[in-house]
Amino acid sequence: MLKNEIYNAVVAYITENQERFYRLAYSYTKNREASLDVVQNAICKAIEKYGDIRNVSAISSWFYRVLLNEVYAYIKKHKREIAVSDEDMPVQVYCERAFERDDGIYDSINKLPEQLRVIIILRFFEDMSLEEISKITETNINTVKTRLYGALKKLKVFYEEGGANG
Amino acid sequence: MDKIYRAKQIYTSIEIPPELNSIVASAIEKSKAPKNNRFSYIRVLAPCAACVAICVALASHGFFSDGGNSFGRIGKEAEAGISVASEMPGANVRGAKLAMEDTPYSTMVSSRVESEREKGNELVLIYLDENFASFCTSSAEDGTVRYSNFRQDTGEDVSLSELGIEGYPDNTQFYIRSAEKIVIVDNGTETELNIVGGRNED
Repeated sequence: MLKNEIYNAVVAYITENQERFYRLAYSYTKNREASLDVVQNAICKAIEKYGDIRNVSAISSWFYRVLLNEVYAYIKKHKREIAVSDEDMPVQVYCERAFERDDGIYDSINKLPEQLRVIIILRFFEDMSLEEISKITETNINTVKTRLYGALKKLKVFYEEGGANG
Repeated sequence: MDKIYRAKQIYTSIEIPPELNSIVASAIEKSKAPKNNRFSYIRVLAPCAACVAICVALASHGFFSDGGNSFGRIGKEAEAGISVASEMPGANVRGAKLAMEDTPYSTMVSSRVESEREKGNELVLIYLDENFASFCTSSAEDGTVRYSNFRQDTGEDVSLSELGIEGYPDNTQFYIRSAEKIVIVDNGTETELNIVGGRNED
């Protein structure tokens, strides 16, 4: 396939799915500006490296891999941020409304080990197949299945221990 | 599985910032430029419209771009919390020029920017208010990233001790994140510190 065709396909894919990328980033960073940074960086890297792609069908898993790498890089870089008390925080005018609702299961998913959490997010939130998840996470498909079942088992435990909404 | 699908509803209800589209379009456009002439993004926490205008003006004059087309994402932390990123692609050059001429501290910023660019360094303005500016520069020679912070009134570099942060060596890399916070950068790891009354709150 011509390089130009792949480039155009990559750009079209990114443009069409940008909201999904933002949501994925936000689910990790919980910060609007950081999520925009992550998405932006992922796009820049993807455009630089699109020559690595050999066919259009690989674009989705390839870009998600790039995006997740940027998410993890951000988390690693910022994990030493010091928490501040509420009284030291300036008044925030912008409020991300989506996260005002506290649902026990959502918290439980966030508490999963990362290897399991990413599979739950990609499978149930991003509606990806196990094969796609296998490519994105560069993990054997049987391992993906094992981790998926392991995650669901853990979620049942977290949820029951939390005793939230039952 | 009902519970997971309920969680999915929360996930899919995450609000999408209005500037996402322009940021994505800009990133795609900018990434086409040769790397040594590419500017990643402008991220400005500007407390006033004048600061935002400076950045728009600088971008319009090619300080942060490779051909005069403005690129970047500006976040404005002000009473309205409005993002002005969507205004960037259509920034009015004439209006931006006037804004730059009117603003008392624009000269210091632009001269500093020009000085870095003369060395061939890639430059990111990361913080700007009426007192200070913070830049991140990427060396044209070896790609080393460093941060510089200076006073708006004199153009002189500002040190950590001047900001009330003690206990760090003179060559510590840091940048100003907001009026209350600075970030120490050590081997790629960032540590945020509060500045309250000039005291180190670590």
